[in-house]
Amino acid sequence: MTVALKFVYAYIATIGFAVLFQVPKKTLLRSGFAGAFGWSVFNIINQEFNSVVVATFLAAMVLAMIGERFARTEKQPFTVFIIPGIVPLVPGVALYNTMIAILEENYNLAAEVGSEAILIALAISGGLTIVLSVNAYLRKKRMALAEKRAIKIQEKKNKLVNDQDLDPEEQQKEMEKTKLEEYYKEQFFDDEVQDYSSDEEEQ
Amino acid sequence: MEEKALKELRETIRKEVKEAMHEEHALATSQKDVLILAIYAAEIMVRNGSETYRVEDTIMRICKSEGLDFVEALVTPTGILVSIDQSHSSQHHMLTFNKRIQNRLINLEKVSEVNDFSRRFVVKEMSVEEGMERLREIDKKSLPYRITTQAIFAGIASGFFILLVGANFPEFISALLSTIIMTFVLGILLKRGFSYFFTHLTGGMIAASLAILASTLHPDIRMNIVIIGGIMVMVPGVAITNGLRDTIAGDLMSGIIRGVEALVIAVSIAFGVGFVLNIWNVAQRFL
Repeated sequence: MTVALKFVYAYIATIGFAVLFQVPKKTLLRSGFAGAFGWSVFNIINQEFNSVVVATFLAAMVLAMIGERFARTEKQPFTVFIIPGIVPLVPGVALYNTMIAILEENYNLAAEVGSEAILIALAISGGLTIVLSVNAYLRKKRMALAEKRAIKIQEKKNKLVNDQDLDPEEQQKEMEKTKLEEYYKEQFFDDEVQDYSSDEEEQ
Repeated sequence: MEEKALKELRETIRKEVKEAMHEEHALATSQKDVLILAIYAAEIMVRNGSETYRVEDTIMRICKSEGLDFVEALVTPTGILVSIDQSHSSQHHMLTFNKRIQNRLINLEKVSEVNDFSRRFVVKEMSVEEGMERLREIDKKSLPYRITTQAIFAGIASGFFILLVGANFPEFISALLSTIIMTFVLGILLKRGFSYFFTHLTGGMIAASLAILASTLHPDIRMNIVIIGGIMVMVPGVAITNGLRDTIAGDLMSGIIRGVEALVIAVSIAFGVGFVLNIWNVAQRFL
């Protein structure tokens, strides 16, 4: 119950932050989901393992995956989904506590809480970077594969057209098969080939 | 007879040279146009808070789609530097453009639109002139949400955020109201062109004073959690995270610039909140 309730709270809070960052209106409702899922993962793992840094790291990874997915389906830069989503994870509470500790001249506590804040920030950026670079690598591979397949199909087609020994019926059959193959290729790889809206870190 | 031939020859040579010069000139101007377009797109992206590598990628794509093989782009949050030429081997027609960027904000709608524009431009959906026109249109667009809308949503965001970290209902209401007031003032100050330091200092002071006020009005309200709700809207978490991401990706200069920006914002918020809290602590002794 509390998990579901917190999911809803995180969803609404993320939409609020999204408005602050001037996210396009049509993606507003979707950009809430990245933050909501990210916070839920954070919440559950933090409860189970009692480690804020690990929970933040995993939450950032989940958030990046969801953001990438939405970026591809919506044809938007993935920042639109990720930036509002990371705000609930950001070490605002830790920064505040650091500041209070400095005000009370309790520098040991300040160092403790401050390093926690830095670790949380590192966990967020580390999680994001790992997912995004792995995805960029996979996308490159898939694009190469799609290109190879396209070339193969074209070669097959040329061969079929030029082949004189084949009897016409069989040729027709083969041709249909190739067309089907081409259709599937388009279904699965078209958006990969044309899309570069999301991350491509490794140039 | 000979003189006539010589004259003709001279005439043709002159014509050819003129044509070649004209061609070169046309080439140079078209290159310049592409460069100006790429820089303009990059400037809009940087001014609205895009990441470094995305801007560099956009510049590369726009220039390469127009047949410029040699493109070198150096993008930082405070300036852009781009050099282009026709080919890698001979760099006789090198053009370089340097653009300084003064102020930045986060407006993801414009980033998204320029991204979309560059994708259309690369597949030759429009000419360079049309592209320039489109970019000007994007640049002139006002913010999609007005200050009042922003303030209301900021209030909602901070209220629901502190519910996430365990606030009760009166705290929710007070964070909602105080953040609405704070964001409204912050938006107006930023619009008037005050510096980051001053605006966030004021924001911190307002958040802290309103939280103190709320905690004196109702015994259930904890001051700290209401202040956290208020400063969560201003906290430079995005700048810190983006700075670290840039640093990890190897864009060290951008990483440092963003990190310093985040530090300035964090210090100014802490300054504002701390100032008010200190005064309150001193005042309590006398009350």
